[in-house]
Amino acid sequence: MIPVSFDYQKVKTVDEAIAALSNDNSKILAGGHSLLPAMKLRLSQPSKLVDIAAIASLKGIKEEDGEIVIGAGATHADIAGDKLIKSKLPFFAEGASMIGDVQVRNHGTIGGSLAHADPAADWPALVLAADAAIEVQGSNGKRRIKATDFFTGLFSTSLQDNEIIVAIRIPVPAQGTKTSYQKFSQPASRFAIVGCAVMRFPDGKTNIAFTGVSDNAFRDSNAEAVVSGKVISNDSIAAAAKAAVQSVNILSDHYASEEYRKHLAKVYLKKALQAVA
Amino acid sequence: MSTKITVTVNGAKHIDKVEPRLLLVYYLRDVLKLTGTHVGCDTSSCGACTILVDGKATKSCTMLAVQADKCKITTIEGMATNGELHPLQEGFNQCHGLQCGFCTPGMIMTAADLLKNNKKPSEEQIRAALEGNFCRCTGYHNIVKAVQYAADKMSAPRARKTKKEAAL
Amino acid sequence: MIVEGQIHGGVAQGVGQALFEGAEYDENGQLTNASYMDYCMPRADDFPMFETGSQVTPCPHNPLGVKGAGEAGTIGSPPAVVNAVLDALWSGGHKVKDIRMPLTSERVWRAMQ
Repeated sequence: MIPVSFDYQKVKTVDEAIAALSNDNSKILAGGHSLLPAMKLRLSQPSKLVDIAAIASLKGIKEEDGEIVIGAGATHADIAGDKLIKSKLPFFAEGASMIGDVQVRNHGTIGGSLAHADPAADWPALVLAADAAIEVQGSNGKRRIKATDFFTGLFSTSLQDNEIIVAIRIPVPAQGTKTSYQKFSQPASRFAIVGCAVMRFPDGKTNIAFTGVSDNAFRDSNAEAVVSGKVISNDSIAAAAKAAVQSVNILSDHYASEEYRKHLAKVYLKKALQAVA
Repeated sequence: MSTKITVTVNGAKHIDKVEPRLLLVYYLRDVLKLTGTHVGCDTSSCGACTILVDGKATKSCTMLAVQADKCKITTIEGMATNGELHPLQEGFNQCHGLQCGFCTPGMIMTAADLLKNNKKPSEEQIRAALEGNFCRCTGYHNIVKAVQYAADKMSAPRARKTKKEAAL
Repeated sequence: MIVEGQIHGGVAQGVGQALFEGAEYDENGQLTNASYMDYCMPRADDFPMFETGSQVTPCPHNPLGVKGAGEAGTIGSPPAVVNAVLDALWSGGHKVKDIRMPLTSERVWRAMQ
């Protein structure tokens, strides 16, 4: 399968990339592991690709001013193997290591995955549960979008046309914070049929996010309300599972009907809560 | 519009003008005539097209040739040195790790990435590393054995060779 | 070694048929799992190592006494896997007599309801 013809520009800085995006039908190429398959099927036919893989400032993972900063160009493999992530955001490392396969993790990037906003991708649930901010840059400068405002629907985000994601910023979790990411994979693609990310802070505040369940990943405030600030017990876990995925449109496909997906979401929430108890 | 790229493939430098939409696997196969890298599913699933790009296992059907500009690439043709098989190639040969052979180049390149980072992988780690490579013939059993063979040989090359020579 | 390799591959194909693989069509006759993103091929991490054994008897119908061996694994493994799942369900108190292949997680879940 061969994509339609397009122009190609490799850029070295974010400013160059933004200037190169002036054309309406340009697309950013990072790892290319969502975009190129879509282009080969001709579901996507951009007239120009702006390759940002060589932008040094988009790489790297560091701690800065009380935040963990993951460059948008960090690959899933970079994140899965990173010491800082493993010690402070272990569920990011776990989640990253469950994406696709070795070859995909070597090239796919966190920024690319977030911008693509596949309803079954792993990163959306993880950034939502971690209270992350998505830092984006456009012709008017930089701005931060809260993860909870970022995902707006099926494959859609609040990212503007001329903006690119530069980093994902997560407040460094307090000592004693526990995290878990539990995923039921679609056996063929290994995307999430259900992915549940949970972050529980030492004061008992509990963030719960789901991916794969609905048109876009979301925080489940009903389930959060049941366990936040309370002891995690068999009873509270059961109550949280009962409250979960109530007011959302639940997806249905070849691998999981609406009813089964709803059941799985509750089971995987239970697993995640048990892991942080 | 075509773009000039410079790539080092199996140690040899190549400078070519390519169309941006040319996939890396077709650059290797059609331009450089290195047909050891196979196109299987063409949808980034099966792993038959796996090569090493700057040492990392990569599905070359999901990368443009222009993205590989200034990269170092290793394909299956670059694994043997001076006519001597790489331990992985020898392992696949010795352990009957292939039947039709279509997946073999990709399996070997993915396994090479694994063994670079993990000298003594467990069976489970080998299976996990190969999750992006499909095989329809072998049931993976002898592929796992072939990778174990190579890991053993690479961690103790001298001792192994002497023993084998002694047996002959 | 060749016969064992054939059996390994056959077993894997049969397990694939029993658990993962199936061509699914919608009501308009459109194939809905036409790529490997939807059609599930079994992978290396879906299997353990195999142990094989053989009972060797010459074939009485040809002068050499030879038999084909390639398909043997494929024939035995789907019923073995399906019966194992049914047995597990029965021992868990679910009196399920049959589940249509492939035994996807949803089909097994539904059979348990």
